[in-house]
Order: sequence, then C-alpha cells, then structure tokens
Amino acid sequence: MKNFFFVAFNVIITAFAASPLASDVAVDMSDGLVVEVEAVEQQNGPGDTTAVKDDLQPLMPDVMPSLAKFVKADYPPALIRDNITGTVTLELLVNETGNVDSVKVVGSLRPVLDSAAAAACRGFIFEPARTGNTAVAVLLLYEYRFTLDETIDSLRPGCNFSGICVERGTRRPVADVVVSVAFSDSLCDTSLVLPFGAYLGAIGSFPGQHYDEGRIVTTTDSQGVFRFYSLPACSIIVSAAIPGFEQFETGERIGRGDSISVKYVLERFSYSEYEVLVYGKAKEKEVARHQLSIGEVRKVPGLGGDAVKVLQALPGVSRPVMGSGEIVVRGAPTADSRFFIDGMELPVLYHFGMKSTFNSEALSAIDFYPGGFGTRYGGAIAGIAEIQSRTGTNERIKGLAEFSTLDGSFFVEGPAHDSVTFIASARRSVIGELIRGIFKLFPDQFPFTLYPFYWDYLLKANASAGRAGKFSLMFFGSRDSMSFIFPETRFGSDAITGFADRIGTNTTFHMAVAGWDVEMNEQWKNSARYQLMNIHYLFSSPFGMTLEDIWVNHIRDELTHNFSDRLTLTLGVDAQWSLADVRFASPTGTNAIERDTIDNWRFGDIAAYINLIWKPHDRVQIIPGLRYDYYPELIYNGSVVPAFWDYRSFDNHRGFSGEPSLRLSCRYEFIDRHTAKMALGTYNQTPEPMGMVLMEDFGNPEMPSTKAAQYVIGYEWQINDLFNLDCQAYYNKQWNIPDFVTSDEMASVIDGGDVYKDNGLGRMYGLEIMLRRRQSERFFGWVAYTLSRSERFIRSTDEWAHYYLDETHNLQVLGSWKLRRNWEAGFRLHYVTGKPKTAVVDIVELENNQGGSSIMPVYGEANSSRFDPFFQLDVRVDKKFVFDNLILSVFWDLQYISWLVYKSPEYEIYNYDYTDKMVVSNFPGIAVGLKVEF
Amino acid sequence: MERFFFAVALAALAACTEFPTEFSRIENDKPRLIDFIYEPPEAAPGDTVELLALFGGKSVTPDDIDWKVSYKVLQNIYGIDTSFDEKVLDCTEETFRFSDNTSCIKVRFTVPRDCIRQSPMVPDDWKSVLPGELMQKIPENIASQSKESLMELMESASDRVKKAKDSELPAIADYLDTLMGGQFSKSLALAIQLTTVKIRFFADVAGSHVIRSDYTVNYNAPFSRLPRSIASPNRNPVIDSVCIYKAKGVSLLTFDSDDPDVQRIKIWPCPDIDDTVEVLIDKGYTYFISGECSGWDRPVTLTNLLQGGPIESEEYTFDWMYQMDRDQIEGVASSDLMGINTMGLPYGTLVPPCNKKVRDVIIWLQVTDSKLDVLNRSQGSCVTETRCRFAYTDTYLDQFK
Repeated sequence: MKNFFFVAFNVIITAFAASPLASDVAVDMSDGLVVEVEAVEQQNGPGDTTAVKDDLQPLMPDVMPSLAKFVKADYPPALIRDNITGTVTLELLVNETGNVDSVKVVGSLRPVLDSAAAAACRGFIFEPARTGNTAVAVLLLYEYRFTLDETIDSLRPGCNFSGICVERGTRRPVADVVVSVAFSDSLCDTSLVLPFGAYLGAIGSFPGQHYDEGRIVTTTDSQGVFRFYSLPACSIIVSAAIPGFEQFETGERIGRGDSISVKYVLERFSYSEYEVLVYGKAKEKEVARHQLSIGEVRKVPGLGGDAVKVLQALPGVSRPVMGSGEIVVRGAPTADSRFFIDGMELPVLYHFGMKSTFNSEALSAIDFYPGGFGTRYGGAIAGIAEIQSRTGTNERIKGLAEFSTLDGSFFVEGPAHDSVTFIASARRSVIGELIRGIFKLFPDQFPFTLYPFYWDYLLKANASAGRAGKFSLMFFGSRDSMSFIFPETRFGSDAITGFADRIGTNTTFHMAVAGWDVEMNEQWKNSARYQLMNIHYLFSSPFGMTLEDIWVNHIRDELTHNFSDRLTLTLGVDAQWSLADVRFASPTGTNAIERDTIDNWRFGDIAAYINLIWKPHDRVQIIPGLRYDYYPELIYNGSVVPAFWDYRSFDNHRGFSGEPSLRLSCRYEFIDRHTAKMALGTYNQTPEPMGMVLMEDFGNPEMPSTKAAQYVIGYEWQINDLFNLDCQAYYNKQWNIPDFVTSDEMASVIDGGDVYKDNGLGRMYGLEIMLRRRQSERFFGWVAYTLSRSERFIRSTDEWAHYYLDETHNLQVLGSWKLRRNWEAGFRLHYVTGKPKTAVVDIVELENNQGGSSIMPVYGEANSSRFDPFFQLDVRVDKKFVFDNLILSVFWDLQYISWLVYKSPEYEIYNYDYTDKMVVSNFPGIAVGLKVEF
Repeated sequence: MERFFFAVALAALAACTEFPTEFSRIENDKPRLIDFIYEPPEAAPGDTVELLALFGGKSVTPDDIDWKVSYKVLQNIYGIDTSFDEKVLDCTEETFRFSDNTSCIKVRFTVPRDCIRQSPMVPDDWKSVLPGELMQKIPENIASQSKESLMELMESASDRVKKAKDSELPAIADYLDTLMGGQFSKSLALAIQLTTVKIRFFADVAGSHVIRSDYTVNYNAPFSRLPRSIASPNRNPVIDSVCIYKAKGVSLLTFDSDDPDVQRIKIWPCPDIDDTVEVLIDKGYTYFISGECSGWDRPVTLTNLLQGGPIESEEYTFDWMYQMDRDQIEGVASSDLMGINTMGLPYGTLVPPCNKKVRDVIIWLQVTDSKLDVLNRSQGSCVTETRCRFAYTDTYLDQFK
C-alpha cells in the first residue's frame, strides 16, 4: 500500500502520520477564501466531521497541497430558496502535477449536490504536495459546503420603506421611536433569492436596522425619520413604540420595486406641558427664590390657567383681597414690591387681578423673591417677581387660540429665518360684555353697569448671530380699563370729565425692549437690555380726574467674569429714569374744581451694583453684593453707610439723594441634600405712594427714601429627586415710611407743616415652609404654610399694631393628577386667618356733604379685631382632545366650591346708620376655557 | 386706585343688599335728620343766622341737642378735612313748627367778626389755596396783597358797605375800583372767594349721634349791594311742587311728563291742606316721584373770574325720605315696603308697597344747591313734607300672593 496523505480542506484536515502533529498550514484558495488548516490527532469520537482511514498510517508531506484553481459547484436556486444547505465530503486523489485524478463521494448531502460537488472538484487544480523537493500525490478528504453566504453577500441595501413619526396634535417630530416591521406571509415575495427567514436575517444586518425575532427593527432619528432597506415585497405590519406614547400599529403593502414613504402620527398618553419639565433640582443661587416652571403652574386650580397668578399660591404671599390682584409679599403692600419682565420694569402685573398682562404662553419661568434678594434688584423693600420671556421655537410655525369666560387670545411662534424666531400674541377681554349682558337681564338688581375691559399684545423676535451674540427685540403692551356706569343718573359734576354718570380708570402701556447677550470668551459675557415705555393712566369721575403720561427709559447691563468655577464677578448698571406729565382736577374738599398740572416731573432709580459668587468649597456658596440707588426725584441727603437701622449715633446722611445697599447671601450644604442658608441686606425705595407723598402742594418733597433691613435664615432638604422641603424664617424691618399726620398733629399742618411725616415704622416677621413634590409622570403638588406677623407702629398710641395686611396663618395645599385619556384633575385648598378689621364704634352724620346728608362711621382702634378665617377649595379638570393636526383642550376651573359649606368673609357691609351689618363673601365661579393648538 | 374701585364695587354691592332698613326710610323710633336749613345759607362776619334743624321719626326738642362750633376748619383739595377748638355754641334755641310730622328747632347765632381772619382756611400765603395754574392768573393788584392787608381791606370795606345807605354805595364802588386797578368787579369777587371760610357745627343728639354741619362765611352778602358787583350771595332753593307720575309699563327707567298717557298726581301742595291724596297702585305701571323747584342762583366761578366764560346756574340735588305708619308696617316684611330709588335727580322711581296693609306714607323732599368751581361755596337747601295714601287694585295685589 502506498503512503497516502489525507488532507481535509475547509474545516479540518486530518493526517495519518507517525509524527505527532502537523503544523498549521494555510491553504490559499483560488477564490481567495482563506481556510484554516489544522493538523490534529486521530479522532473517532462523535461529531468528528472528517472521514478517517483507520487502517492507514499516513505520512505527512513536508508541504501540503494548496488549491490553485477553485471551480464553483452548481447550486440550484430552488435548493437555495428551500434552504438546502450542507456539506458533501469527497475523497480527492491529487497527483504530483496538482490535478485531481479521481473523486469519490464519501459523505453525501443530496444526489444533485453530490454530483455537482464532484463535478466541481474534478476541475480543481492544486499546487502539489511535496516531501523535500519532490512533488508527491496525496489523497485528500475534501468537504464541499453548500451555504447561503455568497447569496447573502450579494445583497445590496436599497431603501424601499421610509417615513416620519410626529406627535399627534402638535405635529412635533418624535425621535427614538422604535419602528418594527413584521411579515405575515413568508411566501409572498417569490423573487427572493434566499429563504424568507434567511433573507430577513440578511437585511437585518444592513446599517440602521436589525433583525429581531421575525421583525426588522429601526429607530427614528432626531427629526423623527425612519428608513427600512430591502424589505421583501409583501404586506407588512408596522409598529411604532416609545415610552409616553400610545402603541402604534398599522399595515402597509410594499410592492415589488416600490419605495413607499409614510407619516405616522403618534398619540401621547398625556398631553401636558409638564413633559418639558426638567426633573431634579435646579442649581439654586439665591436664598429665598422660588423658581417655577410654567408647565407646572398653569394647572393650579383656582387661578384660571394663569401662570403668573400662581405667585398667590406660594408661601410668603398673602391672600389678595377679593379680586384685587394685589401681590402682598410678606405682609407688605404691593407698592413695596417690584415686577420685571426680562429685567425690565413691568408696570402692571395683572389685568384687574383676573389675568396676568403677559401671556403665560410666552413665559419660560417666573422668579419670585419674597425677600432677601440680591443686588440685581433695587427700588423695593419687600419682594421681587421677574417674568422671563421665552424664545420662539425653531421647529415650525405653530400656535394656539384660546377662549375663556374672561377673554380670547391667540399665540403664534416659529422660525422667521434660519437664525431668527418669533413669538406673537394678542388677547382681548370678553368678561365686560358678559357682565353687561348679565346686568341687562336683571336691571332691578343691577341698576348700574360694570365694564372691565383689557387687551394686551406681544411681539418678540430672537436672532442668533454666532460670535456676535444673541439679539432680541420685544414689543409688549397692555390696556386695562374699568367703568362703573350708572345710566340715567347724574352725580358729581360733568364739568370734570364730561360725564356725570360714570367712574372709570384706564391704564395703558406700550414698551419696546431690546436685548443683546454675548459671550466674548469662556470668562467674559455681557447681557444688555434697553426698555422704552410709555404709560398712560387716567382716572375719571364726576368727583375727580387724574391723568398721567409717563415715559420710562430703562437700561440694564450685566458684565460677568468667571475667574474660575469658584469665583464669578458681576458688574451691573440698572438705570431707570422717567418723565411724567400729570394733570388732575377735583371738586372735593373746597367745593371748587381745583386743577393742577405737573409737567416734566423727573423720577427714577439710577443704580449700579456689583456682586461676587464665591464658592470656597463644593458645598459652600457666598454671594456678597453692593448696590447704590440714586433717586432723582428726592431732595434729601442720602446715607453714606448702608443702613441696617436708623443710625442715630452718627451722622450718616450726606451726599446724594440715594442709598447704598449691602447684601449677603450664603448657602452651605452641610450634609448631602441638606442645605443651610441665610441672607441679610439693606433695601430702599422711593416713598410710596410717590405722587402723593412728594407733591409740592400737598406732600413732603423732602421726604427721604423708605428703608428696610431684611434677615433670612433657612433650611433646604432635597428629600429625593421629586420632593424637597424649604423652610425660611424672615425679619423685615422698615423705617422712614411715609406716615400721614395724626389728628393731634393736624394742627401743625395749618402752620405749614407737612401732611406726610417720614417717621413711619413697620416690621414683618414670620416662618415659611414649603414641601413640594415636583412634577412626575402623574402628580405634582405642594404644601405651603406661612406663619407671619405684619405690624405698623402707631405714634398716637405709641404701640405696635397689626397692619391691615397681617395674616397669622396661611396654608395652601394643592395637587394635580394626570389621569388616563388625557384627563387631568387638581385641587387647591386655602386656609387663611381672617384679615384684621377695624370696628365701627360710633357714627357722625354729615349734614351737608355735597348734597343731602350722609352718615360716616367713627372707627375704633385700628385693626383690633379680625374677620372669621378664610377657607377656599378650588377644583380644576382638564381634558385634551387630540387630533392629527391639532389639540383641543378644555378646562373647567371650579373656583371656591367650598362656598357651599362655608362662606368665607371678605367684607362687612353696614346698613345706613351702622346699626346692622352683613358679611359679604366671594361667590363660587366657574371659569371655562377652550384652547386649540395647531 | 384699585381700592377705590373696590369701594365703588362695594357701594354697588351694598345697593343690591337687602337690609331691613335703608337710608331714605325713616324709622318711627329714631330721630332722623331731615335737614339743617340755614337762613341765609351764607353770611358775613357779624351777621346773625337762623338755623332750622329738621328731624323726622322720633321727635326732638331743644333739650335733646347740645350745640358746639369750631371756627377753625381746614379743608382742601387733597382730602384734608378737619377742625379744631370745638366750643359750645353761643346761640338761642326754640321749638318751631315746620310741618305736621317734622320736629324743628330754630337756632339763632351770630357769626364772629374775626371769623375769617382767624380761620386756617385763609393761610398766610392765601393764594396757595388755588392750584398753581390759577394762582398765576390772579390780578397783580390782588396778588401783591399780604393776608393782613387783604383782610383789612375786606373787613373795612364790608363794614362801610353794611353801614352805607344805598345812595352811598356808588362812591364806595368807585373807591374800590380805584384801589383794584379798575378791575373792581372781578377782583372783588375773587377776593371774596379767596377769603371764604367754613365754620363747623356739631349737634350732639342725645341718645343718638353727632350731626356735623358746615356753614360758609364770606363777604358776598354785603358786597352784593354794590353797583357793578358780580358777587351774589347764595340763596336757598324753593320747592314748587311734588308729583307722582303713573306711567304704563313695567320697570321703566324714565318717563315723559308731557305724555298724555302718563297720569300726574300732585301730592304737594294739596288743594286742601287737610286732604291726603290717594294714589291707586295698579299692575303694569311704573310710578315716579318728581319735584319741581325754582330760585336758581347764578354764582360767578373761578373760571369766570380768571379765564372768562358765561356765568351759569347752580345745580340742584333732590333727596327723598319717607316714613310709613308704624301700625301699618307692623309684621310686614321689609322687602314689601315702599321704596324710592333716586340718584339726586329731580325724579326717581317710586316702588309701591306690596302689602295692602301699608297705606299711609309721609314723604320729605330735600333740595340742595351746589356749584362747582366756586371756592368753598355754601350749600343752600330747602325741605317740604307731604303725604299720600296708597290704594291697590286686586290685580296688583294678586301678583304677590
């Protein structure tokens, strides 16, 4: 028997030789296929894929034969489609020239494939095996494999199914949607060169899609677009899924050679602004700041869907008198607080307390500082609220129209150019017409007409100019007018306004605000704003008339330098100067129409400030700041040293009619999630009410600025990502408050004394606690409790007494749930200690009080008793109807439904001679609104 | 300003509330002020004045009232309204018959001669009572006067006028004209207004309350005697008649008195003083009550003096009060009683009672005059008392069953 060498290609070659092991040999196949050839010991176990000559002791040639020419066996397409794959094992005798002398099938697959493999092998040509320098014949075991790999490799991707996923209603593209295609009929596409499953597996390897349990799967990109490649021509079931949305499923038909494009509209589980909330806690800078995300607050019950009105639900803010819209911050009157829009003066925050003048849709956030605010703000001794407007979307032009029992409005935003976006809105009240209609129905009950009317408009453009920064331009205006009309009635005199049957007020303002924000480099950035505003105010009645026309210029510029992550310096200018023309006329008092005119009255607040944000440690932040406010309308010697109290021990008064302020706030996270904080500072403002107090004819033009010192300590506990607890204790001491002369001092007025004195004192102190659960998938809410005292010093009795805005307890609990099918429901519960009141102890009848007689009350000790507590429960229900191209929202705000069980007192009304009284409470109301977003 | 609106809203709300008592309805068991009628309604220092204090409801006698007076009153445009140094009024009091159901006390007092000089309403800078706009327009011959010289001028001139015979008045006028640079008429009228002051009376009605009443003191009366003088003292209005109008229609707001379908029922003056006019209340009608007056004065205003323009009449305000029979309203709900809705106009809606028990009613009409743009002008007034008796048709009463 000759010595033969047995070699197996493709998978394993086994050599029967005396030598222990052959070395690894690489055989370079003609078609370029690299085959690992491995010499192994004899194996006879199961799974051995190589036939073995068990009675031979083969010799191993020095050089293994290598295939020089490969001949492809015929692989019938029918067998390919039938997924007939496998291996035919053949015994090849390769002679010394490398040709195959004989072929023998030793391992069969199918006869057709056996024959095909044998025929192909006969055409093989090898580089012969060698022993030394001598070519030798060898006997090889050769496995010819029939696989689909080559067919698969021949497939090339071609997109034949693409589409876009958008959010239903908003038409916003939805990214990261998992889109999968399933196939119900695997035989539908007869043109496939591969078995169906194998084909899907093959196209599943194409970039951007994958195969998963009989489905081809892909995801949408940031523009909501998805693409499938080389899908078989057949009916498919398409599914789209993403958390927060309803599962989407539809059928499509892909024809042979077709390429289809679709648009799928996905519906959210819940349509809520809450979705845009950033979870977790924002980095806090100020000690006493409440930052509210708009989406979180628009659904607070009882506020009619107005985001700004939510200020009234925060700790430290007193309950406003019925419908007044006042913002009473920590027991101080509204005039002691200031309101801003993007850092610029906002003269009117509310339309008669019913709705904010700035459209809630255009807000990005509201910063509310009930006290202890930093040097960015001045001219106020109580609190600050700053509304931040937002930038229009650059996705597409979209908008909404809203109608409610109060007003109708529209809001549009979108891109105007590549780098320019805009926001536009306008609103007009309808409540006046509603009231007029109701009053006309009941002329006996309402012998007068009440006509509130308001409108506002907003147009804002934002542009980004790369390194040159970001620019903005905003036009914003508002009008509020209110008239009481007593038809067929004449009272007072028509000599003043031409009408003797009505009392009216009208406040209109128009403003333009230009902004420029630029980052020069990583260290330096600058933010500049300029505001030009006209305010027109008119009060007219048969009893008197006041007309004010005010032009306001306001510049704010903040230059910030980041020295490092731990040190930031801000320099700011906050200059507001105003020019006013005032006219008034009144027949009161002297029974003559007195007219007066003040032209070009200049007033304002010219200020500069500096503050440093210093973080000496990761857990510690200290912000010292200094500010100087100059009041051009005042005539007095201002302080030199920031006044924390009225320093009587040295003369602190010289220089300009302005005041320096020193403010400091600190935060220290002493344990993870537990932060202690404090703030203190001096504050000042022009005396209020400015027009009355400073008027030369009547007031005291030499009145100094009103001053305050505020102290705040607090504690924050970030319980987890959703819950946080905030506690603050505060003390606000105020002095130089304009104080009307007492009756004892009135005699001095006769001798030319001032009617207003500068020795009014006030103090407010209290504790505020807020436990807040931020918006999660289903719920948000908070509990806010304030324990407070607001007092004024009464000079006539030499005692501190309750101020009329004093509230001992103020508790608010509110929550809102997102329910299924786009329903939302919420409640707000409000408990407040009764407001102080002054008892009527006697009467005086005025015999000839411009007409017949009238009876006037004589009051007892001011604010010495209280109304019964105030309790209010509001409920709000929202429902969204989502259509493909628009969302329809309806809300029902059931306000003050607790009236059914408890009527909270608001006022006392006396009969004509004050012998009988009636307690008046607010009425329950239903605010209904309809909003269409498109 | 929002607070002002709340006050108005509150007043409007109060108008809609249903107290069992109301201002214009006089209760039988309480003394209620009807009016203080001053004769004359304004006087000069040294003049004697008669005051008729009229009360409805429970009767009042001179013993029930303590009178006080303050000659230091300060009022101005900015809301200051105060007085000092109250003292007992030196006066004579007596009961006076005014009408059947009105208690009347006649008080006679004399205005102190230094009343104007001592009043804080004429400050040292006497021009400052005018707004700056008008202050600039005071003629120089007046503006240059000190308070002292102005007061001396007014006091001495008024004394001379008071004492002068009619034949001497032209000479005084000529003298003053010379003093005032040929602008005697206007300058004197302006000086009178600028030296007009108020005095304040306090009537403490025992067991009830204090009534405060202001009286005007100026030199109008004496200087009005001068020829070419445009100063004219205020006079009390005169009520000519009181009528009830019955107009077809429900809840009408107004009526046409010339409409032949509108029935006019005159309730004062009655043809026979003892008669009581009956007013038949029927379904489907609206009832109005109306007063007619005469005696309008034509005071000169600050605008007339400083800027020119026509001199116009004063205005009248009409106020109604009524009192029903104590026995007839016993047990009747207050909402079923009568009412008069008027806002100072010469006519108002008379809402008839809804209960046939209520028949007799006493009605007082008070008319007061006013004129804006006259510095510290006095307020003249007059009152009349009348009565009527309601009768009801069955169809009217059936509505309330």
